Amino acid sequence: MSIFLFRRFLAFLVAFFLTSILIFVLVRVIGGNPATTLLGEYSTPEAVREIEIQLGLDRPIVIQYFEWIINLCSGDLGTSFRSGLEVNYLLASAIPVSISLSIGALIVAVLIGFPLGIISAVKSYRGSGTALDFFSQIGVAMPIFWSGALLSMFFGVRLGLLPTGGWVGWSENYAQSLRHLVLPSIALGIGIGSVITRFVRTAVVEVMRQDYVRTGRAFGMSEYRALFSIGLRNASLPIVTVLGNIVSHLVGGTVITETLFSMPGLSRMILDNVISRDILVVQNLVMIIVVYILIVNFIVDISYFSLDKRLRVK
Amino acid sequence: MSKDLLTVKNYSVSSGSISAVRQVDFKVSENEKLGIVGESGAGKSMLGLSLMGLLPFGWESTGSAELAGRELVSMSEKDLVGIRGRDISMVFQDSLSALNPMKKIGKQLEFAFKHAEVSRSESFDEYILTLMHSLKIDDPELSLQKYPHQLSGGQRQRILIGMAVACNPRLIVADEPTTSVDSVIQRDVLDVLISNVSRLGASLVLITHDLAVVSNYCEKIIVMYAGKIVESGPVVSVMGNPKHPYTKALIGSHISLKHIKSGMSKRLPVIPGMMPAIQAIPTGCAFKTRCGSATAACEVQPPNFLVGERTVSCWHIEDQSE
Repeated sequence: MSIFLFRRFLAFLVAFFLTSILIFVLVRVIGGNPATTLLGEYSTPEAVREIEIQLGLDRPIVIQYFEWIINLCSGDLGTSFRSGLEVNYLLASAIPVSISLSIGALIVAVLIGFPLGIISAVKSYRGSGTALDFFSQIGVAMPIFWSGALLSMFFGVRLGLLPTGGWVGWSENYAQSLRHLVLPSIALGIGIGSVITRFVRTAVVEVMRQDYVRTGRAFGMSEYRALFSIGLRNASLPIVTVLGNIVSHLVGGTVITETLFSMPGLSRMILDNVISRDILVVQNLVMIIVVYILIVNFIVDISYFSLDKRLRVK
Repeated sequence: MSKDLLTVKNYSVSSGSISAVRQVDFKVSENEKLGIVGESGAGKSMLGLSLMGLLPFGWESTGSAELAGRELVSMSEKDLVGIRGRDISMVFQDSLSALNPMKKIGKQLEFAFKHAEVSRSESFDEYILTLMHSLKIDDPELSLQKYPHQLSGGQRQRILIGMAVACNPRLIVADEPTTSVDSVIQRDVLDVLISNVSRLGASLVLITHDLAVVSNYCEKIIVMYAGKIVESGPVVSVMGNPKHPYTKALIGSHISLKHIKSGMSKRLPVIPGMMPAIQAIPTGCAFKTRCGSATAACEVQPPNFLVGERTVSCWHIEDQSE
């Protein structure tokens, strides 16, 4: 176990540095001098030069990279040169929004995905299984901006039950936070839940047609016992892998959802800073997402250990 | 004359209009070992699975199959769960896929035992170890802690045999128990199976395509072709003096040392043609398309003629001697 963890951790570090180089280079390749962007089109070369020195853009690129990484690792994410505010300060308000949305969407997705996936697997040869399969296809195909707009039109505008957008901080009024979270979570969660439904269904159907399930039943295991003690257990590995991917890809979904429901989250922050060419902020924010995804994958790897005891055997 | 344990009458296994097993009749007495032989696709495995009530979705059995007086065909799933393992159990082929790859051998054996609630004088662990010894598994304690992929094919097959005999069933169906085992140790595995069957006083239905296995271990034989029993009876008489053209051809295509000694110039004897697929079984005798003695009479399905102790389903039984 410890060797496995150590190797995973090494892989984590390698991935961290490789992606940091990639992001650092990409942000610079995209072009656009931040100093010019900041000062406007008619700025004098002297003024541009001054800003460049101030931002450290005049130094050799390798030094710039290491300075960035060292600051990043020590938790200093710099200052947004546009607003003049510290990035840490901006993040403190944005991250809780994104995390709330992600967790909300995941809860909705898991609540939809697991029961429906299992039912659809058990009934896979029957009409109800086909019907569930059909609806999950629709769920996968529905874009968030469309389902989200429908949801907010119906529940927000027509019925007036829930807010159509915006955000209230948890510390201010958590009941209001929850109310603001419902529609975005459902909008984002439906699509993910449909994907989970399909994967759970496929994984469980695949396991249940294995010979060893028949063996279990041959020695007196009932169908439902076989489903729960063999089927779900053996299907859990592919499902966890997919869940890991889904959690990673959730970031993409939150960009659209946060924009659609005007939530001041991390994804919105990145988008705003890309538009305003605040490259230092962008590269820091993207790096935060990279670390988040790496951590999720790390957790997925570790969870294999608790699910598949064979891995513990030398 | 011992009592009948399993009585199968007019028994078919079908899915819609397709039949894998067609109107078969046979009996298995207590303590008896019955061998079922035939080519792949003759319906042997489906027959075995159907007796366990483990047919794939869409398949069902009709007719009658009575196990110690209880009708299996109409039995509810709940009652079937109750008798599986205890009254009737099965040894599967392909031991690697038949065992759960994610559970230790000990855990899987434990389940096969626990469900049976067999009263035992010795403790549970002792019972498992005694059984492991009777299965001739080296280092039983260590093997129980292993996962299926860590054992050899022969060891895994013995474990499957152990699961099948764990709860003292009265009838054991063994579906090609040695196909996935190296030919060198096939004999060992079969010996373990037979010795355990004898120890329990159980009956055995041994499904195989190996005639030699049947003649070595069984008392009675059933020869199946395209879902039908073409010949059945005591092994000695059927193997020594086959009546049905298919049985003759099957025995004739058995490779013996004679063929090897006579050199490679001689081609191995084969039955020409192929067994019809279950979707396209011709009317009348299904073997007529490959049979040397087929005539117009074969357009009608021959009944099971009694010749001494055996049944033969053919219009052209030349001699009536045993």
